[in-house]
Amino acid sequence: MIEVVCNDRLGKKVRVKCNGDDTINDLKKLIAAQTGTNWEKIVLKKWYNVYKDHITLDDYEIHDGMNIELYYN
Amino acid sequence: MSEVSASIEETNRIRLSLGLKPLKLGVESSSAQIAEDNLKRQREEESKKARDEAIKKKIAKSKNKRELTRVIAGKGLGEASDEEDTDDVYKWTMKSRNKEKERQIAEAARREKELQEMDESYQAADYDEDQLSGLRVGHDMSDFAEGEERILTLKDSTILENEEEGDELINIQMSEKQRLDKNLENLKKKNKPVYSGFDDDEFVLGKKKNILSQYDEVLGVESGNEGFVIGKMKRPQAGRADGSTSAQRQGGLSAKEVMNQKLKESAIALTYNKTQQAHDYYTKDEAEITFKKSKKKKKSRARKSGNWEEEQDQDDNAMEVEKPEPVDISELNFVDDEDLQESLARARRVATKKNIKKLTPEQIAKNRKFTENKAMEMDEDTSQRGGLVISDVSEFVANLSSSAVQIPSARPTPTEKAASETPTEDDKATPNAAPEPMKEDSDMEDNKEDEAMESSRSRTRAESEDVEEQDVAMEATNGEDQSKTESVLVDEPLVSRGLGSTLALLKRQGVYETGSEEQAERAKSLTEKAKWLADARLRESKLAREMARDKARDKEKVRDKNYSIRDRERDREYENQRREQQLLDEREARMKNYKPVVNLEYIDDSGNRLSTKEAYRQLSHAFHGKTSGKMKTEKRMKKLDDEKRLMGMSSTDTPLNMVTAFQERQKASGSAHIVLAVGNRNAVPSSLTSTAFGGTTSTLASGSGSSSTSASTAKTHQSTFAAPNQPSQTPLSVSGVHAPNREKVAFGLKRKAEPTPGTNTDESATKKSRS
Repeated sequence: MIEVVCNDRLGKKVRVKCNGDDTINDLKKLIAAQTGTNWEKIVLKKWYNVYKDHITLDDYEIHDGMNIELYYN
Repeated sequence: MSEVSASIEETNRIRLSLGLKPLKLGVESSSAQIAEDNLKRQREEESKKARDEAIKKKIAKSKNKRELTRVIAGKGLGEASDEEDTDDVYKWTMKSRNKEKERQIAEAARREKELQEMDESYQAADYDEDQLSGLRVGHDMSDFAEGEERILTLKDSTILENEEEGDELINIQMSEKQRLDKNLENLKKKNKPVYSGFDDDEFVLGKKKNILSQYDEVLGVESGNEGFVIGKMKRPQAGRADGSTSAQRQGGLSAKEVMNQKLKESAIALTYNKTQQAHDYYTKDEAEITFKKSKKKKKSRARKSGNWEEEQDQDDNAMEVEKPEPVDISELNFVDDEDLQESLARARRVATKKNIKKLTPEQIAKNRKFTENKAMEMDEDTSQRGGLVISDVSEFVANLSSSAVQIPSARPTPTEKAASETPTEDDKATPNAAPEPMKEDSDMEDNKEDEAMESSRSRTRAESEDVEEQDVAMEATNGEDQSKTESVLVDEPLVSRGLGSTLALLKRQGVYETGSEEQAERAKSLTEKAKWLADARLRESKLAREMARDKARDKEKVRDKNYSIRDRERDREYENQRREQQLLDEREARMKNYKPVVNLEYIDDSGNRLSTKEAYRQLSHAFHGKTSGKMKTEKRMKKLDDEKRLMGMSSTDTPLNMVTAFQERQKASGSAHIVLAVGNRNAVPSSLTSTAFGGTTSTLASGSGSSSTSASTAKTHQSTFAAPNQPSQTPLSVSGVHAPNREKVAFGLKRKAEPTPGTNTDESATKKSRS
């Protein structure tokens, strides 16, 4: 289990517990469940890299305690 | 800003609702972790193994050490002697003696056993041919003659050779002889060229020779000498006494067998595959079977047939020289087996050669007789046919230069004779063959009434003419013949005959020389030019005449009334054109043989001929308006002067005419010599000072004066020659001549002076001085 911090810098900062082998899509759903936004509206970024839905966190090398930028469509 | 986070249970619930598997709790065992673990384990294993290894090594080492110590263990050399033998010498000697004895006994036993074995082996069977059976002999069976004893020894060979071939028996003398033969053969081969020019080797029975077969033989390998193995042949076992005879018998048998074998090898099978297919490629052996093309033979035959008659002629004369027999053409046409013919011819040639070689005395005598007859016939032939016979008499006669004598040997050569004879015969045989039609042609225009008469007359006339011509021709040929035969002593052309003969005489004597080829050419071209000029003049006059005639005709035409102006003009134009054309043609024709001789000569103001270079300089000076400087001009002038003087100089005298002067002087003095100077100071004798010397003409006193001078000179000479070492008291010198020596005597041409006693002494004196 890893914990990832997602911050949209507009007032929402979520600490999500997830597995390493979860996809970005799963992570988005979890975030959506905690924040109450539609998961389809969520865009996860690291600098200019937009994380794609079908790739796992391990593959993106997202580790425990990392920050991910949260944007909305 | 607060961080929203859910607990694990909450997250798991959410995950469940989303259809995801629950969170993995506990330590995260990632692949990296596993890998790390694996590595650690591996390292541990390796270290353990190394440790084990080290322990094993240690154990082995200790074991080895123990082994070593065990070998060394026991007493050392020093220790042993110290302990046992030092106190008891007797014991030690006894022991050593025992040892020695034992060894000797063992040795004796061994030797005895060996000897026994040898004895047994010798005693078992007496030494006879059986012992030798299976040994190879290195010579051919035929090399051993009957009743001959040869000592055979084992051949020297290396170990390897011996293992390969086994022992071989040879006779040293025989092998030596073989080697000598071989050497001789090699020498012969070396001397003989490989290519003899004949194809005799090609027809040796058996298979054809390979290309460059002389190199087939391998160096160092003795071929042809196979040898034989004793006991291989079947033969009755016999004692040593009749061994030679048995061997002989064996030899005969083997020779026969060998012959058989050879014949079998060289046999040619007459059966052959009749329906043989033609292949694109043949092996070497197959290719040999095919027929050879015989281009050369055909060629030679063609040549032979061409010269058949000549050869026939030569054959009559050439007795001794061996020649291929003349080939009959008719026979040749039906020959289809060339090889057979070739071989037959060779056989015949060999046979004839043999006959010639074995000449008996009778045959020689016969031959001699025959040749003598031949020679006589030849003589007769030559007397009939001509040819040169040189004998003492003929030579003598030939050297008699009188033209009246008819030289018997001077006969026309056959060809000349034929040439001179044939026309006469023709005339006699067919006098009216050639001239007849010509005469008839001419007669056709004449009266036809007395044709027969005319023809007969003309025939006679023609005959007579022909005869005359013939005579002339004969004379000419005779003249030629004579000139040929008298080439050694030639008749001088008589001057009285005319200018031509005079010129010929002069030419022969070398007085008058015909010019070189170049000159002849030039003369020829000059004559041609003159001829051409004359021709041109003639033509011009002709042309002028024609023009005049044309004009006259024109005038006549003008007078004609019917002739209109236009017509006249047109005609004139046409005429003009025609004339022009004609003129041009003529000119072209005239110029065909035009070959001008151009020879440029330059002459300067003073009339000297200039070379090309000088001419160019002159031209250049004229063009540039300036001449060469004073020095150059002077130099040139001097050169010209020199040349002129050189040209004017006499070839027999010095430029100052010394020779003439000397001659004059001698004449005056009446002596054969002249004294130029006497003494160290080149003093001139007083009697001579009056005579001027060295001028163009000597002004010697004549009459009594001259005689007196001559007398005085004679006297002085006597004195000088009597004592040549002393400087003479009477100084005599010739002015104008430098003489560094004490005296100088010049000898001119010997002139016949009056024989006076003085001159005689002079001459003797001169002779003395000369010697």
